Amino acid sequence: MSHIIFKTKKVIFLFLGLVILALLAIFFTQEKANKKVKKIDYNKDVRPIFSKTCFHCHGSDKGTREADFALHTFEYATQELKNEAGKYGIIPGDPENSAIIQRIYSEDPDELMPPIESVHKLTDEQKEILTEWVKQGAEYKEHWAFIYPQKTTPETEAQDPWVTNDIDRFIKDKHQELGLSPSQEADMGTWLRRVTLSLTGLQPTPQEIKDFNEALTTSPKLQAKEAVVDRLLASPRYGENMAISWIHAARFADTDGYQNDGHRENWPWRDYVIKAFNENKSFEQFTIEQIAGDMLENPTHEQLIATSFNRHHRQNAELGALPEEYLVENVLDRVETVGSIYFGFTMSCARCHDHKYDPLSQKEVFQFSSYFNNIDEIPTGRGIQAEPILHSPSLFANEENFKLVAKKSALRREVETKLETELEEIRKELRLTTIRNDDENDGRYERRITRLAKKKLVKSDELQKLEKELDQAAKLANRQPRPHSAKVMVMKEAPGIAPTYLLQRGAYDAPDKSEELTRTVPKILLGNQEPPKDRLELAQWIMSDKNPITARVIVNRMWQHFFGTGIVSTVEDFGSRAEFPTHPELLDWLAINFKESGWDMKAMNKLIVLSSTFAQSSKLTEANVDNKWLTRGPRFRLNGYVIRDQALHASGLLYEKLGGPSVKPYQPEKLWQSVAGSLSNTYEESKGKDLYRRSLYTYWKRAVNPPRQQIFDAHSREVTSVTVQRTNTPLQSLVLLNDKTFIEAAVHLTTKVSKTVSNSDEALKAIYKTAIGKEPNETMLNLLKESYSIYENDAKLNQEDAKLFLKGYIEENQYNDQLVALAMVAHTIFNLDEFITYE
Amino acid sequence: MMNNNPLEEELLMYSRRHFFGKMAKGVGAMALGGMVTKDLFAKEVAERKLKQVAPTAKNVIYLFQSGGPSQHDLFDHKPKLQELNGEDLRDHIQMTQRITGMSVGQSKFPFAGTVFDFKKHGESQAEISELLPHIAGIADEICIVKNMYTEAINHDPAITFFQTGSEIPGRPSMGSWMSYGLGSLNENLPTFVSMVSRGSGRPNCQPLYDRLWGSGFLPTQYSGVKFMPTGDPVLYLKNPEGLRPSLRKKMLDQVNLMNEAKLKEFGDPEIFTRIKQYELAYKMQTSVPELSDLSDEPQHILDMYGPDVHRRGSYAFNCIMARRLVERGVRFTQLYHMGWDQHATLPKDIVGQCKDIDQPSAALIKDLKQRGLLDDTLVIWGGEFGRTAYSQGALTKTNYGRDHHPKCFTKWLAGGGIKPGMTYGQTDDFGYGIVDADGNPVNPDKHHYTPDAVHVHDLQATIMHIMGIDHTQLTYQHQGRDFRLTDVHGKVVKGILS
Repeated sequence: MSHIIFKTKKVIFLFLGLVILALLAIFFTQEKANKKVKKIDYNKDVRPIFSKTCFHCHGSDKGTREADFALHTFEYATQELKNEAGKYGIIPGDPENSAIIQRIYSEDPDELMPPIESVHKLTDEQKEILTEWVKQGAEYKEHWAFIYPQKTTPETEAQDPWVTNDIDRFIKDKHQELGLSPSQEADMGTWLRRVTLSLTGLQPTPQEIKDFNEALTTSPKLQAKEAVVDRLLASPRYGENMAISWIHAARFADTDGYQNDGHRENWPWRDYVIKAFNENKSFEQFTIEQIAGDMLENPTHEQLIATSFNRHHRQNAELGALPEEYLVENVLDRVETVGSIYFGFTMSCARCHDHKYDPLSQKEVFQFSSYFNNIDEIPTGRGIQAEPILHSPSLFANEENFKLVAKKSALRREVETKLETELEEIRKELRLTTIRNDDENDGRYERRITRLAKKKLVKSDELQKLEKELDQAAKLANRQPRPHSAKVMVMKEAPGIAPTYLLQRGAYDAPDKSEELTRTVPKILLGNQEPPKDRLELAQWIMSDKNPITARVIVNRMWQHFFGTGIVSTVEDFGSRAEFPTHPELLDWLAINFKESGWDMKAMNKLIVLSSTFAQSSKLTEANVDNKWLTRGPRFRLNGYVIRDQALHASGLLYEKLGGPSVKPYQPEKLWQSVAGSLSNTYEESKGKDLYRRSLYTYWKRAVNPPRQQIFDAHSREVTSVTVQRTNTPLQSLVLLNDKTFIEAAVHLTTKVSKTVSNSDEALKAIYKTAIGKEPNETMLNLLKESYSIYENDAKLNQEDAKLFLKGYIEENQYNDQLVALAMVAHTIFNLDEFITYE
Repeated sequence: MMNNNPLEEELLMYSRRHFFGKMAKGVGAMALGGMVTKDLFAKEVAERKLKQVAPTAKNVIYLFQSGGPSQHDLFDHKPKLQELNGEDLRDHIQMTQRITGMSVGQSKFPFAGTVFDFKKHGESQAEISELLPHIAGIADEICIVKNMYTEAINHDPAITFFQTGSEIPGRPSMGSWMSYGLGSLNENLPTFVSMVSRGSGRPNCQPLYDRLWGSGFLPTQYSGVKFMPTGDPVLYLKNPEGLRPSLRKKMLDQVNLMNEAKLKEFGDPEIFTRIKQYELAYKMQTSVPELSDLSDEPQHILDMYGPDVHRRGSYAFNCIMARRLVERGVRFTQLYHMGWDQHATLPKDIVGQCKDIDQPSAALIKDLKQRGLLDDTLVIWGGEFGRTAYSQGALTKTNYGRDHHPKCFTKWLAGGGIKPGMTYGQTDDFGYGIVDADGNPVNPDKHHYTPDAVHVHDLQATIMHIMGIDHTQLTYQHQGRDFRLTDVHGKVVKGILS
């Protein structure tokens, strides 16, 4: 017996050995083959090395250039060296005689590049890449982000069984290329929670879970999923959720910042943003209104409010602040915000000198600033007095607005569904009659169909009735009394053009008056086009086909919203030091598709969340920890807004009302007083239902940010920021453990659930389901039961303490040991990784 | 909570494998919370491959005097101003400095000689005002730097510049850079702590901002943890009413069990980190109150810091806390004392303000020294800019005010790596600008380094140098650029190093 086993083992070993040898052989031949054919790409392989290691001293900034040698263009790099006659930095095809290759391998410490004292070092692999690149001819390419997106066709077929839509084809292409495979699909409960969180920032309710499960039994999966997505996109919660990252990027806040940090009232702009997302305003319109709403012909009140976007900069009200200094600060802050949001790179670092890595000159920054410096503003003093000011009520009229908007959206959805059906029919008709197949990809064709469909729709009685109802809803909303008027800082273009000069070293008091600058967009984006004449033309140019960069930047951030990381992981930087896109073809495809859809944000979101890529399970394996190639679903910690909102939502405390002034929920006592100036340090907690509004309405003081958001990594909203941080700290644990918000919510959740169940097991299930937004599994259920009995025993023995724990949240006569034990379980659930994680 | 738990060992191994895999790819999200176990942090720090300088200190206590203390009345004595008291500055000096909108419209800029007496102290013969008798008593321990200068003339940009290296918000504070670059020295407290106190000089007017101890674009775990002057010493530290520690522990055990189940199912190292952070939070619930409880301090020590030491939130209380933090391995302790902004009635208001800080600051130095901690601890005292030689508003026999003055001001340093008992740098006879050793005016700016003047970036470079960091090497890529605390400037001030 043992002999046989031994023998078998031997055979197995032998066999395994052979297999390994064979694999190794294949591996090495492949490796060799790969090396042989590998074409070095300047953008993907070389530029990142140059940017990180060399451009600082040998790049476009003449000020810091060493030895009069530069590597940022082919012409510079291949010139004869200034201080070594007969030698050349790069001789294409001849690495051995190229000075840069000699230098990077040099053993002479005086010769070695990067210099021995530099923080940057080259790895052997990087040296090989550079050598090979020179050998292959040292071909330079324009930076990928500045080249117009190109549409390519993925190799994976649309009929591939894994593929739901075109996104998946690109993802699968990459999987194929790298020999990877996707994870299995997440269970439907997980998908429902994921999609609901991503679109509305709240977990699904038990009723929604039930409805979805039923739909899955009665209709095809994709159809059931699509119905969910449509419902979520039509929910007013969608706009509230999507507004959060826009608000951060636009550095919107409720105070002026700087030393005095006084109250300001730009909040009607937040209403505008929520409304725009909910109404699915095209991103083009959304942009033009915010950048130049004041310059549109007969602008509406809303379009004027939109321009507050460029007035969310801080405003220095310190006595003695010099207006001329802060005018410059305010204007450059606009430049930085617009640049960062729309172009994906920072302009402010070229304020003092030419950009070191990107072809952006100091002069261009000030030329660009000239679009934003002509509004006759009051640059210092309090924000609420900083003309131009526009008085405005909330753009949502009354308390019932949330329900009205919900009704309106539902009606609109109905209209749209009808429209879709009509469209299909018209398509069929047209296909049969006039249109040839190859015209189908032409945008004109789609537009023609839509026109025809709309004509037909007008005739439909039923739809006309719906439209009327819609109108009525809108009228009703407008008839309500207007709440108090806010003083909103807006843009208002003044006649003429304010003279602009280059400020030497970026200092307000050192203008170079020798040359008055003309407005223009940095050449790297504009090329040889005619520069936009004013802010309106600039906004139009940004959204035009002539701008290579914006569509990519925007879809990349959208991708980050759903997957946690952008296709370009450096969402804030598309410049030459940006990470190369993981899926460049997909990025381009999304960008073009977004434009062609008429910048339809909801359509893009829908496409993403219905993809198979998005539907994957997010369980980790060794191979997919960083999930660079999207071989699993996203899993990351939720932001501080959503964490609190979920607790309120589960408890039933959440007061859903759209828009209006900011509110002040619970906050530790004297937090403002400890730090802030006496003029603005009294935090008056909101009363009643306003304590429980969604967190995007929380009053944002710049000097002392709301602690829950700050602890969960929100940016301070003093300057623009598009990056997302997700840390994991003990201070976060303390919030969830001890903040009254979560204890109160736990108790309310418990009392709410207790009314509907007959025993503790049912209650535990219901509490978990309401809090997390999905069914508990067996292991979890057992742990919940175990916890419950521990807490119940404790309560029995320590009833006085238990009563104290519930005090203030329930009437004393409501008390029983079961209730406190269940509340403790609910609070335990709020502390789970699962509760604060999108998975 | 989970000591010697075999599961924990397993999870630890598992997670480390993941974690270091992540690090190698540069994702590095293992949040160390400014407060992680030392070995993990060490590994992370080592990843950064800093070119280390030999450190001469392990900890920093920065006693920031917010508002801009008047160098004329504290450290930089100018008899000439007393002699020319009341004469217009413009008759003697060509005014080149930026002045704020508060005094720009004045028709006269009368010299205001200090009304306070100055004497020379210690072997070093440092000249110190009568307002600071206790600090005068430690004259031989400190190094007074009289040739500091900055660019900003308003508080917010000036303080932000000192603490983050930029006048515009968004950059990490000095303590965050230190946490990021050096890691933690302890296992149950933050790496970087900030504490604020209000002064008697202008109790209601000098605000601060969270960003001063924020981590800017660095991950939030490198932020300073603010110790509150009232309520919970750390936000949300205290258990809710009715939740006894024993029940809290039971609850945390349940949370951990559920999180462990999730970890097994999903294999996400973030869950493991979450478990560890709950453990750490629980430890902090004990370690922080223990830290803030002064009942174990002997009376003579408390007496050293003065009567205010018993008042939580006072500067004296914060000073003794700073020592206790250093003892427990907190790397960077940042104090802010507000109220130094004497635009008017300076002679009256500065008296109380000095009293706030004099005895506690001196006590801190002495206390650190007697415990052998001063050698390892760098202490810095000073504000964001200086004050004018002329009076803002009318000058009378007994009264004057002083506006902001960026061209020269005084700070002092002590402890690890600093040459004790010296005065460094000098200003002209009017205390208006910096001069070289021969008395010739130097007009420094950050673009044109001169060894005779200490720019904000130079001080930052020096602090980092003392802590063992080459300031040009500690960088972080953000928006496509490698940022550092000292921007593209800064030279180590070798002359003050021991």
